[in-house]
Amino acid sequence: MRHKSIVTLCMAVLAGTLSMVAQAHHSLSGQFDVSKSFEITGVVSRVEWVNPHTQVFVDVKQTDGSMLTYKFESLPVAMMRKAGLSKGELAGDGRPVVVTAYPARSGVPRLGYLLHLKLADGREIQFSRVPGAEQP
Amino acid sequence: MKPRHLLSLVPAVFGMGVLLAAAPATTPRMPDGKPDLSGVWDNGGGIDFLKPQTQANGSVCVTGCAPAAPAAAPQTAAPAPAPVGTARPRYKPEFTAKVEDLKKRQQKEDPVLRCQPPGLPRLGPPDKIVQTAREIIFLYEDVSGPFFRIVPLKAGVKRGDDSESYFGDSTGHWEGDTLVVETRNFNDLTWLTDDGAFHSTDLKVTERLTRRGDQIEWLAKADDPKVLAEPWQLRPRMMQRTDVEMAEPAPCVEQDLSHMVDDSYHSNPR
Repeated sequence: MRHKSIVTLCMAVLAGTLSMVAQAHHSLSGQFDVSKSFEITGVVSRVEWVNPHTQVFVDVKQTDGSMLTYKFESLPVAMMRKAGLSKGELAGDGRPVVVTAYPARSGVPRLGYLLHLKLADGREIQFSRVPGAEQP
Repeated sequence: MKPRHLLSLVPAVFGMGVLLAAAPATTPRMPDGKPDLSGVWDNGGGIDFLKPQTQANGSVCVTGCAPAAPAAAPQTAAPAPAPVGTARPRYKPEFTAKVEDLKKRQQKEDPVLRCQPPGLPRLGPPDKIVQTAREIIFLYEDVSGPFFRIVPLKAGVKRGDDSESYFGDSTGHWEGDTLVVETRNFNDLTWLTDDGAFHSTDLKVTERLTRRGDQIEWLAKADDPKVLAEPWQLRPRMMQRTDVEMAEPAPCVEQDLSHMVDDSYHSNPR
């Protein structure tokens, strides 16, 4: 009986967690394809520290030497602050970072929703869970 | 004293330490004896689900992290309090279709998605309180921008502009140790929640703030007899005192809606 109760409780917690994740993703699904992600490497050139979504711009060097700028939307400023993150932290130190993001559904090129940043010093920042990735 | 007796003191001393650690902080008071609500308050910011984690190497996980190890359960769990309030208001039958229609078109209709003020009680508890004997100032860092409210502690204070507004006209008074803030004179441009819960200009919002040590319990009730079937009692929110000073709120700059490809609900928790 007790074992059954614990199993039931675990299932309820799991269901609640999945529901929360689904809801968080659902709120983005009108704009981004939350079923997949893409990855680029570049240098953060600008951060807009604004609500309702912070914006991170990343310059990516092309094979012909030209530069293309990607725009990534991310969490509100209050959420960043609660996690101890600042504008300076996201702006980085000029060294390349690896960005993982949801692609935009509108077809606008180089627009995405920021999920994960791998910094040049080895630290990582997960803003939202990357589809298919294990939780850190 | 024999070692055995000394050992018998250990649980008692340990127990006293636990009691001291668990004792609530004293509630500071103003010179007039009223509780002092001044300070910066972590009210969850509507992001109660956010449990950021920082690892030893400085890596940060903001959302979608693996669940942290659960805290040890207390040996004698207190009975859970009866649930208070509801997540949504209940409307008169003739208005439910309007609410459902607005809810379906939330992305196009919710004023907050266009950086408009959220109104009350959607704004939630304040992030900072400055209290004097004559008035109390509420400061907010909201997703829609920085907001403030001035709450005089006596009725009839003349305002520079008495037009109906997003946050209305507030007056406060004390009922024992509870600050009661009553607000009227709202415009009808805001929603009570993020799913089509409109209101009329007859809206009256009553907030009750009770400080106990380092926490304030925030209760709110919205009454709009023109459209609501009954006054709506919100679920309580707890405000936790923090030593981290409030930062300059970021401006709200909407730049997402033009990229929406369907009418999916777009959450904006507070």
